[in-house]
Order: sequence, then C-alpha cells, then structure tokens
Amino acid sequence: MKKGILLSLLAVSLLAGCSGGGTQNANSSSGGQGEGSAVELTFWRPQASEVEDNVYVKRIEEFNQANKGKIHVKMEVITRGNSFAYEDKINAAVASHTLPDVLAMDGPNIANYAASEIIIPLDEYFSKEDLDDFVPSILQQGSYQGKFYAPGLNESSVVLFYNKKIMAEHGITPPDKIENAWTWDDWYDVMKKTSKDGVFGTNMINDKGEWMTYAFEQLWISGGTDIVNKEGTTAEGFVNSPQGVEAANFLQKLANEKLFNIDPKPTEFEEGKAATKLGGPWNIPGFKNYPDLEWGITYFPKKAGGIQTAPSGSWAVGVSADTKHPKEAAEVIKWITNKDSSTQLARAISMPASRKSAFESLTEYNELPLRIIKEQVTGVSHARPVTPAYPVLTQKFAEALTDIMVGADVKKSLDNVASTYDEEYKRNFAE
Amino acid sequence: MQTAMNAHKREHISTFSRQRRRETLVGYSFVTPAVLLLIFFLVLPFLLAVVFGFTKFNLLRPDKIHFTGFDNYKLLFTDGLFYKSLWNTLYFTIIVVPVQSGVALMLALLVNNSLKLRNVFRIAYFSPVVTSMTVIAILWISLYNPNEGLINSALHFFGISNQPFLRSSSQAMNSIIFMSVWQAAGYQMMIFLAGLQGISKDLYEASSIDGANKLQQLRYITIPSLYNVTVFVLTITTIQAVKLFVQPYIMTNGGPENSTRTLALLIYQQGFQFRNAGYASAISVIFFLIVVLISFSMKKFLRDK
Repeated sequence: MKKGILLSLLAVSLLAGCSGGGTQNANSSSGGQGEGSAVELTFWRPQASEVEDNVYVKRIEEFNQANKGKIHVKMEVITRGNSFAYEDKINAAVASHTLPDVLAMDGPNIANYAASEIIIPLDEYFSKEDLDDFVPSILQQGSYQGKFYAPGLNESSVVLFYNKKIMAEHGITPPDKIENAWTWDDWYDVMKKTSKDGVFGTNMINDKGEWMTYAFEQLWISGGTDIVNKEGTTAEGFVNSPQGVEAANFLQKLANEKLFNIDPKPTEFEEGKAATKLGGPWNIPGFKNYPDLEWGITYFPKKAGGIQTAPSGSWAVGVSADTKHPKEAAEVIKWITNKDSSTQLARAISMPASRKSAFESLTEYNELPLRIIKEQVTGVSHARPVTPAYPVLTQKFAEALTDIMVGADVKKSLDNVASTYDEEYKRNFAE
Repeated sequence: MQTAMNAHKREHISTFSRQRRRETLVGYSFVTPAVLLLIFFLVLPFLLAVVFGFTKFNLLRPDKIHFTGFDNYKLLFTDGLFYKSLWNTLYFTIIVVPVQSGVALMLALLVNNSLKLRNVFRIAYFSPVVTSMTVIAILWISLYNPNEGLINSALHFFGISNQPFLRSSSQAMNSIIFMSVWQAAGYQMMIFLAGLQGISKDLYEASSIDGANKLQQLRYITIPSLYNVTVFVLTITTIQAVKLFVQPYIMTNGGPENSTRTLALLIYQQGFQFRNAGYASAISVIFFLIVVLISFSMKKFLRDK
C-alpha cells in the first residue's frame, strides 16, 4: 500500500504544482528589492502592447524608488489568451480570496465588481481637485451608487476616419468643427455616394462583442435615450424606446443597402476598400504601414437635432477588498493615474489622456486631426451604462444588434434585450 | 512425511499469496494516479455541479451562495432559450452523425485502394483534423463572407446570387454543419481505414471466384465486417456532436437569432459571462442526463441489431 500512498502523494503534489505555478511565475517587474519594513503590495494587470507594458513597468519602478522602505509594489502581468482569460482569473481569485491588493479592470466591469464588493471605494484618498482633473467620462465609469472606485490612466474615443482621396473624388468635405458634425443622414449620403466598385461606404464592425455596445449605444444616447435607465435598474422603455427603434432601424438600413461589410477584413479601410471607418486612436499607429492611405478624422455622427456624443471608456485600476493595506494601495492608484503617468501613456500608445491637465503638455492634441479626439473626450463623451448586470446587458445588446444587421425584426430583438435584462436584474441585483 | 509435505504446501501457498498480494498492490499503485485525477477533475466537479444546481450562486459572490431548492430547474423548464438550444444541439447531432460517418466511410474506401497518390490524399483528408478548430473557424468566416467570400464568388460562377450563410438564421446552422463535417471526417476516415485493412483479403478472393461484383462485395463483405468499427465511430461522433461549442462560439456567438446557440454555449454564457454559476450547473446536470440517455439508447439500439 506504501507505493500507492507515495504515488497518490506525488499526484497531489503535481496537481498543486500545476495550479500554483501560474501565479508564482507570472511576469513581474520591480525596481530594487523591498526592504524589511516596507509594505509589500501586488498589482495585477492584463498584458497589453509592449509599449504600454513598458510605461507601467517604468512608472512602478519609479514609485518603488520614491517610496523606498515604505511601500514596494510587485506587478504581475497576466496573459490574456482570449478576451475573458483575465476576468476568469479574477473570478477564481474571488472564490479563493487571493485577489491582489491593486487590480486593473475594464471600465464597464467596475459597477459589477463594486456591487459584488470585491473592490473598495476610494473617495477618502482623493481630494476634490484631484478628482475634478479627470475627464467626466472617467468619473462616470468609475463611480457606483455615489462612490468612486476606480480611475483610469487613459481614455478612448470613437471617431469617423475618412479616406481623403475618395472624399476628394466625390467633392465631399468632412466637417472639422464640432457644431458642423455630420448627422446620420449626412453620413448615409456619403456612404451612398462612395459605395461602389468593391468599396464600402463605411467599415464599422471591429468585433461582434463589446464593440457593438461600446460604439452603437451612442446612437441611443444621441436620440435622447439610452439602453438602460440612469440607475441601471431597467431596460424596458429605454433600449426598445421609439428613439432606440429608430437608431436600430438606421443600422439595419445601412446593412440592407450593403453600405458596410458585416464580416470585414480588419484592414479594409487601410487598403482603400472603405470610404469611412468607425474606429479609435488605437487604429492610428497601424495606418503608417499603408503609405498610400491619406486619412482624416471627423466627429462621431449624431442624430439630426440630437445630442453630439461619442463612446468612451478605458481600463481602470482599483483596490481589492482583500487587501490589508488599503491606504498604501490607494497611494499606488494615485501614482499610476497621476498627470505624469497619464501623459506618458498617452504619448506611448496614442490614446487620449484621462486627465485634463495632461493635455496641456500633449500639444499634438491641439491640432487636426487629433484635436477632434480631444474635443470628444473632454467635451461630449458618454461612458457605457453603470450597472452590476452589465455582462448580461452588453452580451444581449450586442447579439440583438448583430441580429438586426442581418435582418432580424428590430422591435422584437430590442424587446428581447429589455425583458432578458430586466429579469436578470430583478433576480440577482434588486434589493 | 505428511507434515513435511504440508509444510511445503503451506510455504508454496504463502509465497504464492504474497506474490499475488504484491501484484495487486502494484496494480493499485498504477491505477491510483488515474483514479485520483478522475475523482478530482471529473467526479468531484460533477457532484459539485449537482449541489450548485440547487443554489443561487453568483460567481463573484461565493460568500452569498444559498440553497434555493428547485428554483433553477423551474426557471430552466420555462426558459425558451433552453429549449431552443436543446433543439439546435439535437438538430446538429442528427444531421452530422450520419453525414460525417458516411463521408468518412467513402473517403476511407477511396484511399484504401492502390491509387498512385493515395498517401497524398490521406494527408489531404486528414490535415483539417490536426489543425486547430479555432483557426479553421476563423478561416471559414471569411470563406462564408456574405459580400465577398470565396464560396459566394464560386456560386457567382454558376449564376447563383450571394448567400448570407452564417449571417442568416436559416442558413447558419447548416453552414456550421458543412464545415464541421469537412473538418472532422478525416478522423473517422482513419478509423474506418484501419477497419478496412483488417478485413481478410481471402474473403474478397473467394467472393470474386463465386462471381460477386464490386458492389456486392461492398454490400456483403465490407460493410458487415466493419460493424464494430461503425458502432465505435457512431458513438464517438455523437458524443463529439452533442458537445458542439467552438464553431458557434467563434463564428456566430450563437446567432443570428439564437439559431446556432447550443447547450454547451448556453452553459458557458450563463456560467462565465453572466456569472450565474448555479443556473449554469443546473443546465449542465440536465445536459449530462441527456448525453447519458443518448449514449445508452444508442448502445442498446446498435447491439440489438
């Protein structure tokens, strides 16, 4: 029997080894070893591009230098095999109470994590002036039930890129002043004119998941409604409101008339096969690989007579409820989201900064084309709905929009989003 | 004399039994790791799923888990999406199992004769099997592109207008079935091929002396000889088909209008995306019972024949 016991021990230790290995060996970076008395903190964030990762590494090293002997942060970069690998790791850590002290999270998840009490409010650690320096959309996405949980380092926005050559061919001059921004009808006319000979009027499908909510919720907002109410408790009468149906009808019209490709190549616009493109600053670095492409930026189209708006949202950092050192963890958050961090990240990855003060030194944002992004981020952006049931909302809304774009009944699809969301909310989050 | 013999016998018995005991122990020790792994990763999770099926369990609130009796099952049996997913799963299985096995058998018969380039064909038919399903699914999204896909270009050549394929609720599932058969038939082909090569040549020789033609040989020798292989192929194909996940997850995310939502996809969405671990566990339990029911009835049906 001895052998059996030995082998089973071996098997168990192997299993333990497997499960432990992942966290232990995760990429870490730190400047200098923490000293005996220093508070040791861990910080999780998902792997991003190399330039973005380098900014974080540098800023954390500088933090450790500045707080030598007091706080020492160990950053673990977690590989994102697919879009949910990082969230899955957080889910698992919640169950086993092994969350890090500081963690990064995608903007729309903040409310969900706050409602689940896995992150703590940070109001007492931020001064009012400090908070006011964040662009409004960052405060909006980072707040839940009147408390502020997680600031971001950078913002994002969606603009309408256009191909200058194609515009010139048709004598179209896209607006460069926000008050002249194209309406849906103007945009439709542009698409109608430019859509021929294998060129699509626009390219507007990045993916059929989060992008759908991120980009197209704005059509609801522009119409004066939203996809859920302000409190996030119901979608009935919002996502399927008359204005909502109108927005969805507009998308279906574009699809029916084949003005965009429902399964586009990612580089359709870059190759000159689309006259316009709904995209973000993250697309700009890639344009350099297409020297023939002459591109410009104009505003996110609005509804005629409606509200000028644009998507926003970013990854944010918060303090986990499992931490034993909330005060020190908050120090890390303040450092990693301060003006310097925000400016450096904006420089590195051409995403707009999350702080108004950061734009002072980012002079490239004062001129076209980037001025348009700044105007949207600092002036008219709206964050995605703040609701603990966001995972259900975004999934169902994205499914409905995809269905609508391939010809499903508009009202029925939106009604289905409303009823699914409301039932889910009532079952899991209603008091 | 008598005592001496007894002593000898006793000694013999005791060495024998000691040896047997040692063998038993070695046997157990060999089997222990496998059994432990099974218990930890299969039996225990399933039992937990049964328990969780009776609870309300938000993945992010493990502290707030509580028993709700049959609430999840009540919800399940009134959930239209559950029935839709169940039907989609069954539809896929009912079509894929015979078609895929049939195609596999034909491919096996093709590459079993002495064609010149038969190894090239064998590799060609088998290569999709060793390619990652995710890669293949992404590839087929562009083949199926409703505006400018390769398949639509080919249809144009025959004067057929653009088809929406994955972007239409009436064509999406059939499009997934087509690419799934294409991807997986090579695997079953290999099993059939092994079966074909196990059939004695004597049978064919004897039958040709008796004047049987190729078709008669196929009907009376090849197919009956492959019976056991066929049972095996049908069983594994069914089990694979019921678990359909990757293709709809990558290609359609269950749409359009839930026409490609399968049970596996529904469980994933409820459990991981919506974090309703309790409800997802309840669906898993029902799913498990359905799979057990299918494999038992298949076994009985195929044995009785």
